[in-house]
Amino acid sequence: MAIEYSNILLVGLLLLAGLFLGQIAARLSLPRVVAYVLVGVMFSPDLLGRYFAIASYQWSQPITQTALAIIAFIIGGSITAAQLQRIGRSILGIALGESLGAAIIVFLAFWMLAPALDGVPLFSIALVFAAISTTTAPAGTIAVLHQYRAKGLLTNTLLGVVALDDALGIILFALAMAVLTGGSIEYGLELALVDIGLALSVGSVLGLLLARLATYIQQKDLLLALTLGTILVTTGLAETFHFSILLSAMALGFSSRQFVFSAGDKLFGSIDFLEETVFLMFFTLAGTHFHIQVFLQHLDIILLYFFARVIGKLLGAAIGGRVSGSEPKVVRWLGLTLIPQAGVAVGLALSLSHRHGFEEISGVIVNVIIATTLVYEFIGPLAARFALKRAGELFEPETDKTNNKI
Amino acid sequence: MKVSDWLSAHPTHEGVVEEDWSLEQIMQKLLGNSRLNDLYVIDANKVVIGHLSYKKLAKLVLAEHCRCHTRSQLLERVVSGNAAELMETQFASATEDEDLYEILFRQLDHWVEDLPILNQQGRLIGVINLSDVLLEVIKETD
Repeated sequence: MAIEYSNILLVGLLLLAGLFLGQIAARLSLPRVVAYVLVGVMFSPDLLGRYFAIASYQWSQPITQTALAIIAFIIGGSITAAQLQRIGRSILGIALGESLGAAIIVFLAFWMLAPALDGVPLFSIALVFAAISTTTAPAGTIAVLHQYRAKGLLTNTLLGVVALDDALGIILFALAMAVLTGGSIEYGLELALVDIGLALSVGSVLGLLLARLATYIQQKDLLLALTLGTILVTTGLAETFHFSILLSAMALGFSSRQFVFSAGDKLFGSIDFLEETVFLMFFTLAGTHFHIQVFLQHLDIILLYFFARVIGKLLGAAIGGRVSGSEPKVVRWLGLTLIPQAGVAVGLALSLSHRHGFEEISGVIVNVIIATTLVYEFIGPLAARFALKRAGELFEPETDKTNNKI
Repeated sequence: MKVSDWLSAHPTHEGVVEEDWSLEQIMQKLLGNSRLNDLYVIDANKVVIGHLSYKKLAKLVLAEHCRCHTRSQLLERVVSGNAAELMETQFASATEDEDLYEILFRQLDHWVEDLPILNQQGRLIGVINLSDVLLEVIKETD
């Protein structure tokens, strides 16, 4: 007789297996997030999930929503207005170019070439994949920079671009979701403005409140409770009043960092401490959504997304660089360093599973993103190494092995 | 023992930087005195407005040799800020009329080696070095 395992036991196994494989991945210079997703895939219904199946995902919805909000909060809090003013035309131009480039090419590719999926309009599918395609995952590339002691203009521009483009991705995704909720483009855009306005307002006001309250709390552990509580309130308000959770959480992070009038190490240090555990839980759970059948049935979509995103990143970075007056070597080689995709893309895809109208199709989207993430993460660092070498910014390799965080 | 008694018996090394100082200037100040562990940022009126720890500054300087980067660390590498942007506005401090042994745990709780002693206007009047106090305590117990 088959034993019905407790979900808590299975989540515990996922965490421990993810932790173990994550350590191995770090030693092999691979991002730990990829290892977490792989562990989830191992426990997916077609593999170990046959024996250790997670009975229902209903209970996991609040966990994934909160985890996503924490990730968005950290992304928002990593940027300040002063930094944006000083960062320079080149980095801003390229970040905009490569994000929009990927979004436009992926949108056009899906609209013109993708097959119909479960009765969902092609426009919706194209828009969702376009928004997800904007994000990148810096960890693999940073590992290459560190390993070869990369230095120079291309390296510096790359660091700035990868720090910014996930924020752009979240904004585009929120915009796309609002447009899709509206039905028609006119009504959708109107709704998008209301949605984004609400998300930014609520996030900003609560961010101000969080920064003010944080000045009264000295203990780090209580600061964590305050930060987490505010993230949950923001997420809950967004869910209740149907505006973007991701955007409001990002606005919360940005606003609290602004109003704390400092580096924000104390405020964000407490939540940074929690980040890796959140990643571990979120991405192993995300991996369990993998289905071999869905993967095999949609190989054409996987290939379409894979190539369209790469072409979009290359073209967009080059155009963005040229328009913003970047150095020729940056224009020529930066796109190749922006191929990796991981955490935020998987998170955005997974957020669709609870969204009205996407319940059926979200499985396909999550599987496409998981499959391409694994390939991008292996190819991305190699492409980055090639580009940095051609740009003359690679030096001697290092032998030490430590860990990646992003 | 009152903090004021301690300060008059122990000359202090004040690690003070101005809010518009660059990372390079801050590091010169920090490394120029081997006894400095914490720096305090002052505004135009000499009021202490923030704290910079040795660990944070060392991390910033060594950032390019670190494989582990958060997004904020990436941006700090690209657009390095001045003292006002790098400092923490929440920091532990004490006043000279407090009891010395009561404030020591404040230092331990905040991992601060040099605790600033501020007057009523918020200006720095001295620093209590944790190691100095520990040496004194050990001497007393011996």
